[in-house]
Amino acid sequence: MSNGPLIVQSDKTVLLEVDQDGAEQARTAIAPFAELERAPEHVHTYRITPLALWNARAAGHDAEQVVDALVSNSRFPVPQPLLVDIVDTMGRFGRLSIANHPAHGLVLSTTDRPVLEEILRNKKIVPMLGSRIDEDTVIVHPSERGRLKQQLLKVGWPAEDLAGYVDGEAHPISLHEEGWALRDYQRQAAKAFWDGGSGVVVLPCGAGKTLVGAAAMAQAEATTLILVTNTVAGRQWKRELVARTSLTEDEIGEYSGERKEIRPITIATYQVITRRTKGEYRHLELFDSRDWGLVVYDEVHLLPAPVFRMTADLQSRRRLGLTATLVREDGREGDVFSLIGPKRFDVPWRDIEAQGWIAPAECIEVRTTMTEAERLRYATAESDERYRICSTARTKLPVVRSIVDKHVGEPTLVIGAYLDQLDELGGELDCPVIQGSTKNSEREKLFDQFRNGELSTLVVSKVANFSIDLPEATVAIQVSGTFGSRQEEAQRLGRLLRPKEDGRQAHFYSVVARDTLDTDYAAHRQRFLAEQGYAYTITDADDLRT
Amino acid sequence: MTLLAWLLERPRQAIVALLRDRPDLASPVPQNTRILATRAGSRTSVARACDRLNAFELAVLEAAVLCEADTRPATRAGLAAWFGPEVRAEDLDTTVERLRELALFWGEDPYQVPGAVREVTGEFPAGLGRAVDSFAETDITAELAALDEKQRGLVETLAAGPPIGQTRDAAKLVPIEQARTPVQALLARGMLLRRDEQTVELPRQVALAVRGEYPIGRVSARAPVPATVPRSAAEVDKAAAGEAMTLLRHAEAILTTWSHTPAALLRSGGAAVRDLRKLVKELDVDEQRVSLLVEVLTGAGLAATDQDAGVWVPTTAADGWFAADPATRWATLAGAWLELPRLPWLAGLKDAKDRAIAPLTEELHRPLAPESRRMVLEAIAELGPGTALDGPDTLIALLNWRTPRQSSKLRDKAIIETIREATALGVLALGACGTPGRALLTELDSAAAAMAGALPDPVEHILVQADLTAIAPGPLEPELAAAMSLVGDVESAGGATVYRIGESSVRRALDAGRSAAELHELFRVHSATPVPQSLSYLIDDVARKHGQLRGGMAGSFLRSTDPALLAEVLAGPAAARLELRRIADEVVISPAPLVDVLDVLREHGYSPIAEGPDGQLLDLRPPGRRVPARSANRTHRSQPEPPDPDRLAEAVDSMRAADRAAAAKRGAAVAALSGAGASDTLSATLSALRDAVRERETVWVGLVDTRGTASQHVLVPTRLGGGVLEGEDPDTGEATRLPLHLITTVATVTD
Repeated sequence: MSNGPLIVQSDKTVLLEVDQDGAEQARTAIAPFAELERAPEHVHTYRITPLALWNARAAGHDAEQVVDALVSNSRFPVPQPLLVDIVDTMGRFGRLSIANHPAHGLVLSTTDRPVLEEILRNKKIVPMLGSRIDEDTVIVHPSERGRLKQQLLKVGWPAEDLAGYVDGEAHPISLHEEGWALRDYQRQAAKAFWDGGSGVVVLPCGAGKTLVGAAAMAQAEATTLILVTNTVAGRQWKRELVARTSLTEDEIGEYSGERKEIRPITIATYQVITRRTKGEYRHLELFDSRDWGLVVYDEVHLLPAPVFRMTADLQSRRRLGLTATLVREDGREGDVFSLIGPKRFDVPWRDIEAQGWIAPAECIEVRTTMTEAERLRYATAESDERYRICSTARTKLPVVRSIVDKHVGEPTLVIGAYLDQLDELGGELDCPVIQGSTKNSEREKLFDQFRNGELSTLVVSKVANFSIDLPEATVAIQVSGTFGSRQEEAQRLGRLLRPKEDGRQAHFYSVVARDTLDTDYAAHRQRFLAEQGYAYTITDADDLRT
Repeated sequence: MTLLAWLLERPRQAIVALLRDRPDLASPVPQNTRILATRAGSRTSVARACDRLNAFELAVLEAAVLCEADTRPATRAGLAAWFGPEVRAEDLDTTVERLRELALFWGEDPYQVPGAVREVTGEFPAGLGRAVDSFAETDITAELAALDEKQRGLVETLAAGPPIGQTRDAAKLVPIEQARTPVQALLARGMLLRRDEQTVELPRQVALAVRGEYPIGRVSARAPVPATVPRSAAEVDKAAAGEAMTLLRHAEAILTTWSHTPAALLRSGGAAVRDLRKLVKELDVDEQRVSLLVEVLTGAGLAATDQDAGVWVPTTAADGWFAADPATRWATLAGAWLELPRLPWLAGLKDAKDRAIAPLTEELHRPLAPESRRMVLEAIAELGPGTALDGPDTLIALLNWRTPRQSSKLRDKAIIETIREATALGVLALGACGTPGRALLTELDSAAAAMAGALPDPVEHILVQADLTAIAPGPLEPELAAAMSLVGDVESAGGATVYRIGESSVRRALDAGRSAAELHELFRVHSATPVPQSLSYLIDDVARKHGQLRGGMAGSFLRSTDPALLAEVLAGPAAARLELRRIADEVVISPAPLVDVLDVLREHGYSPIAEGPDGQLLDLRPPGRRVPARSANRTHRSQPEPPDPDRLAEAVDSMRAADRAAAAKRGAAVAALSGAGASDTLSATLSALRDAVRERETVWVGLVDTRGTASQHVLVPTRLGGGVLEGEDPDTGEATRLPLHLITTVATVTD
C-alpha cells in the first residue's frame, strides 16, 4: 500500500494529510481543480466540484492530468466512479463557446450540435439568444453574456468564453516598489487573476489585499472602478494607492454619500450605488459613466444584490473580487463565482502566518457564569430575546475589565453588537464608543488617536467589522455579535492580523456566557477560523483573573 | 447400426463420461442402455447437449444434418466437403470425436446423428433453405452473373442466412417482363421460392453457389482471442479492494437503515419505491447500484421479509456479519452474488408491459444466472494475472463462439452487466480478475484470505482537530469504528472517514451509556495528535447537562406537604404491599393503580384523597355496571353487484367457444392424459396432430390450462413444433396457439 498524502473520498472530497511526506507537492498538484474547503491543523479538505474542474479545463488542464494527480498521490485506490465522473464532467466543457464574430458580434457556437439543440430548447436560455446564423452558431445579445454563462453553468454545459475583455480607457498606472516589494503570494494572486481574466482572490485580513488590487491595476493600465463597503475603507484604499503606485490624489475620485467625483480611478461605496431615488437605482449609471478597464470589488462577500444584477451586464470588463472569507451567510457564494468569476487564488491563513506576513494570533474563548438572577431571566425569556440577554450579561463587564488590565498598554478593541452594552462598557473602561451614529469626522479623529497611541482602548460596534485600518491593534475582545456569523468572527480576528512591528502575538478574546445560546453561537462562529487552523483555547473567567 | 447397438459396444468409461457430460441423461439413472439410447435421442436431451456446443461443434453437427446423417450414414469426406479451406483435418477429427463422446454422433466413418438433431438445428441448418429439384440442369453461376446489383444484394443477404424473407412482393407471381421489384424478378427467374403470400425462400443450391468454398459459412475451428491490455496484478488487487470497501460501507449503511426504518414490502414481493429512493439519496449512488446491493444482501440472507409486519428487515445473520472482519464480510457478499439465481441488473428495465421491473421481485428470478455469470468470470480469469480485458466486445465474441445457441442481444447485454456487477463487487477490477476474485471462483473459503491480503491494513489511530472533526486515515479496527460512529457523525466516507463531533453526537454516546471519562479516554488513547481543548470542553459541557432530568414509570403517586407522614406510610405494612418508593421528600410513587393504593391506605387507617390531572379532587367510587351499546338493525343488500362488462364479455366468449366445439361432430378421440401408457397416447396424439397439419383437417382439441380450467377448441392446425400447436379458426380464420403439454384430447371433426 503506497503512503500518499491524499485520500480521495467517494463524496468527491480530497483529504490532504499535511504532515505526510509529499503533502506540499500533492497540494500543488490538486490545487488547479480542487477547492480548499477547510484547513485545520492536520488534515486539509479539498472538494472537487464541476466548477473547479471546468476552471481547470479553462486553464488548460485536461482530464488525464487531473486523474493522474489524484491517482499518483492517493494512499488508497481512487473510487472508479469518481474518475469516470471527472472525465465526463471535464468533457462537457468547451462544447459551447462564446466568441466575437467579425460580422455578427457576440455569438455562441458549438462543436457538438445536439448540445446546442438542447440549449435552444431551454426556456430560460432562449430569450438571451438571437437568430441562428448557421447550424452550429447562434447570436448572443451582448447584454446577456453574463446571465447566459450563468445559465449554461446551471444546465451543465459551461461555455468557454473566448470573447475576451475590452481594454477600457487606457490610463498609466505602475507600482512604486520603493522600500517595499510585492510579496510572493500577492504576485501569484495578481497573476492568477490576470491569467484567468476575471475572478476572486481570497486572502486573510491584513495580508495586503489592497496591494493585489493595485498590482492588477498596474497590469491593466486602464481606468478602474473600485467598489468598497464604506467611505472609511474607500479613503484607506486611496491612501494606499497614492503611497504604493504612480497615481496621485487628483487621479483618484471618491463617489460616496458626501462627494460625487468621477475620475480615472473612482472609488465608490456599495451604499451609494444601491441608494434608490424615487424607486430607481440612479447611481448604477456610474458603471457606464466611463469605459472602465477594470472593476475591483472589495469585500466581495458583502456584495449587495442590485450590484449582482449590474455585474451581469459587465461581462466584457475585467472583474476582480477581493475577500478574506468567502462565506456568505445568504448562501450566494455561487453567484459571486459565476458573475465576478471563479476563485482564482486561495491559501490557508496559517500558511501566510508561517511566512510571517500576518501576525500570529491566539484565540481565547472566555466562559463566564451568569448570576442566578440572570440565569432565571434568561430561562424565562422569549426565544427571540434570549441571545440578547445572555450575550449582554452584566457578568461580562468585570471579565472585559480584567482582560484589558492584563494587556495594559496594548492597543485594545472591545467589539460588541448591542449599543446599551457598549455604552456600559465605555463607562466601565472609561473610553470612547464608536457606533453607527458616530460622525465620520469624529470616527477618523478617534481612529487617529488610537493609531498614534493617545488612546489605548476603543469600544466599537458592528461598524468596525470591515475595512477600518487599525494597524497596531493587538488585542480584540468580543462581547457579542451577529448571532452565529462565521465571517463576522473571521473579519474581527482580521483586525488583529496586520503584522506587528515587534512581531508581537495578537490576542483575540471572545467572552461567552456559559450554558446559553451564547456558547452555541460562539461554537458556530468559530467554525470558519477553526477550519483555517485557529484552535481556540477555552478558559474560565475565574482562571483568567488569577 | 443403431444408437443403441453403438452404445452397447462403447467401453464403460465412455458411458460414464457421457453421463457426466450430459447430466440430464443420468437423472433418473436409466435402467438399461435401451432407455439411455431412447433418452439420448430425445429432442429435449439433444437440445440441452447442443446448448453447450461451441460454434464449430455445432457447425459439424449441422453439416451432418445437411448430409442427412439422421437417416443414412454420412462419410467423413462428405462432412469435410462442407467446410472452408482453413478448417484443418485434425480440427474436424477432434470435433467429431467430441460429438461422439456426447453421443450426438455415432458409428465409425460413416457416422450417424440422432433424428432429433434435425429438429434441434431448426428448419434451416447452417442458414440454408430447401434444395430444389428443378435446378438440376441449371447453371446457377451463369444465372447469378445475370442478376443486377439489387437482386444480387438480396440473394447475398439471404444466402448468409436465414434464407427466408418477408415481403409484400410475394403476394403474386408475375412474368419476368412485368417484374418491377428485385423480389418479383427473382421469383420469376426461379431464383427465389414463394413460401406463402408474404414469405420468400432462397433455394439451397443458390445459397451454396454464392457461398462458394465456404458451403457451411465462415466458421472458425478455433476460439477467438479476446483483446487484452497488460495491467499490474497489484494495481488490480488494490482497485478491487477499494471497490470492496465501498461495497461493505454501502451494505452496512443499508442494513443499518433497514434495522431502524425497514423498507415496506409490496404485494408483488419487492420493496416500496419510496424506500429504495431513500437509499439512493442516503448513499448518494444510482438506483442500479441500490438494486444490486439489496439483491446481494437478500441473496446472502442478511436481509429478508418480515411477512407479518410487511417489511424488509435485516436477519439475525446480519449481526454475525457485522461482527466479522471486512474480508469475510466481503466474501459473504461476493459469494452470495456469484450464486444468486437472479439478475439484479434487470431491475429498472422495462418488462413486456412496459412497466419498470422492480428489484427483489419474482421478475428477476433466473435459475441459470449463476452458470452464465461463472462463464463470463471464468473467461476473464483465464486471461491470467496481469492481463485485463480491453473492452467487452471481444469477450462477447468469444462467448458467442463458445455457446452460440445461447447468444442473443440480451446475452450480450448480460455479459456487459455481469462485468459491471462484478466490478462493483470487487470481483473484477480494471477489466481483470484480481486475486480475491480468482479465489472466489475456485474456492470460496480462500476468497476471504485473498481479500484480506488486498485490503489496506486497519488503522488504530485518528486525527482530532480543533474544528471538531476527527479523521480516521484508513479503515478503523471494528471496535474503534463502532465507538467513533457513536460519538461522531460521519461527514465523509471512503478510504478515510471524517467524523464531526457535536453536541448531539456526544449526547448520543452518553445516552448509549458511555461516560464522559470514557469519551476522554477514547480520544486520548486513539488520537495521534493532541486532543484539542475545544473537544474536551464540548464533552464536559454536554456531560454536565446530561441526565439532569430523570424520568421513570409509576402507576400512581402520593404526595404530602408533611414529609413525616410519608415517612410513616413508608415504614408501615402498606409500603411493601404497594411497592412504595420515595423519590423526593414530598413524593412517593407506586406501580399499583391509584384506586388500589387508596384502598390499601384506607384499610390501614389513613384518609387519602385522589387528585386529578388538574390537581382537583377526584371521585374514584366505582360507577354502576354497563355493557357497550350495540348498533341496531344492520341493512342487508338484496342483490349482488353485477360484475364489470369486460368480465361478462370474456364469459360469453368462452361459452360460445365451448358451444362451437360441442357442435362439431368428432371422430375417434385420442386422449393424451398422463398415467399408464402415457407415452403411447402422447405419441398417438402427436401423430394425429401431424396428420391433421399435413391434411389441413379440422380438429377438435380439448385442453386444461395451468389453472385447471378445461376448454375446447375447434381449429385447422397449420404448424406443430416448439411445444406449440398453431392453427386457425375454421370460421373466422383467427390464429390460435395452443401449448402442446396442456392438450388432453384430440379428435378429428367429421362434418
